[in-house]
Amino acid sequence: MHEMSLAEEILRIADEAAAGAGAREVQRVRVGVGWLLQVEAESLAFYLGAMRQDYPRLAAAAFTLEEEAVRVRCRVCGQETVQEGWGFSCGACGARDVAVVAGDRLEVQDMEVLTDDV
Amino acid sequence: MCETKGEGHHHQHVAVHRNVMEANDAIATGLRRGFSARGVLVLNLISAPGSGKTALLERTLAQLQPLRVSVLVGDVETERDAERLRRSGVPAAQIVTAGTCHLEAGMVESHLPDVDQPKLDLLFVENVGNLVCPTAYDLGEDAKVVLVSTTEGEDKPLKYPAIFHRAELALVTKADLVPHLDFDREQLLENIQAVHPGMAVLEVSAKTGQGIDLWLDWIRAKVGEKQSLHA
Ligand SMILES: Nc1nc2c(ncn2[C@@H]2O[C@H](COP(=O)(O)OP(=O)(O)O)[C@@H](O)[C@H]2O)c(=O)[nH]1
Ligand SMILES: [Mg+2]
Ligand SMILES: [Zn+2]
Repeated sequence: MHEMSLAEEILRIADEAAAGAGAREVQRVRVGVGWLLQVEAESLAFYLGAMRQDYPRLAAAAFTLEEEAVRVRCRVCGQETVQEGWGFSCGACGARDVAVVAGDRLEVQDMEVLTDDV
Repeated sequence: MCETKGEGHHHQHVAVHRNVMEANDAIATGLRRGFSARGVLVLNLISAPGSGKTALLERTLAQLQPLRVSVLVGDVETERDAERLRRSGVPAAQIVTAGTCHLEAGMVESHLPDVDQPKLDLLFVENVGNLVCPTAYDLGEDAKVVLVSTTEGEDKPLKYPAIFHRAELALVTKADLVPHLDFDREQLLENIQAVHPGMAVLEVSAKTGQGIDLWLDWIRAKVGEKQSLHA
């Protein structure tokens, strides 16, 4: 059910951005999906496909969902590493005092659109 | 922005880079500003269904006097939890989400007037029973508190790292059941520290009252902190 609310927001943002760019038709939308959000990509893709009809500009758009890995910055050694596995720790020195710097966001990144010639 | 000419139309690349949570986050930011101006502490309680959020609040509310406390409680279908909580003598209202698995900032905004009171000190938000979806929705709270009961298994933090990472405090609930369970306490505590090093953890029982004093102390310290910032 979570994925349905997210799909609604993605469509709203994409449609607004398309209108802002003077687009007639959106062909492709790229969405970054942070791993930490535990979004079910299949379910999100399903709702995007089902609900895009409500937006004429998006009715034929393809949505690319790109999973974004979690990256952490170490407060001990300062390195930024990709987080692998469950626990949060620095990939360089093993310290557990880390801050998440990527992989915790869901973002409409960019789009390919068609605009009419003027 | 790159453009290519076609037959009567342009192909265009449009950079967007907008957070999908932006609408929720804007409302949450407004709520947070309003609560801060009034010195109201807001705690967002998150757990799987049945971990004991309502039972813990029932234990807690009466003992927090003379603090002025209100509760908003999210549920997919029923009004039962709010009725239970009103028996503690505090304003409590249900947010029936009609199937949605989490509370959103807009729901808190629209239901706040149902429970608001002059000189409110503390607002509890009992979120919908779910460990995934509520994590992503900022409600304008000061802290998320995650509950995990002794009956749920030691691997909960590893299966749902995001909420354990984001919450400020973990409550291990139903501590009274430990003697009857095959529960590996050390393993659970270790798993919590793995996803959130240094996380504060309290072991409580709503049934026997074990650990409730420490929980009340934690709450009162947070209320004090918030009010000193406001003053
Ligand atoms: N033994 C025991 N049972 C509890 C405790 N807290 C809650 N329960 C029981 O767990 C069930 C779910 O509790 P509830 O507070 O409704 O969970 P919620 O869905 O998280 O609000 C109820 O049957 C409670 O009686 C506790 O500390 N000890
Ligand atoms: Mg409940
Ligand atoms: Zn390091």
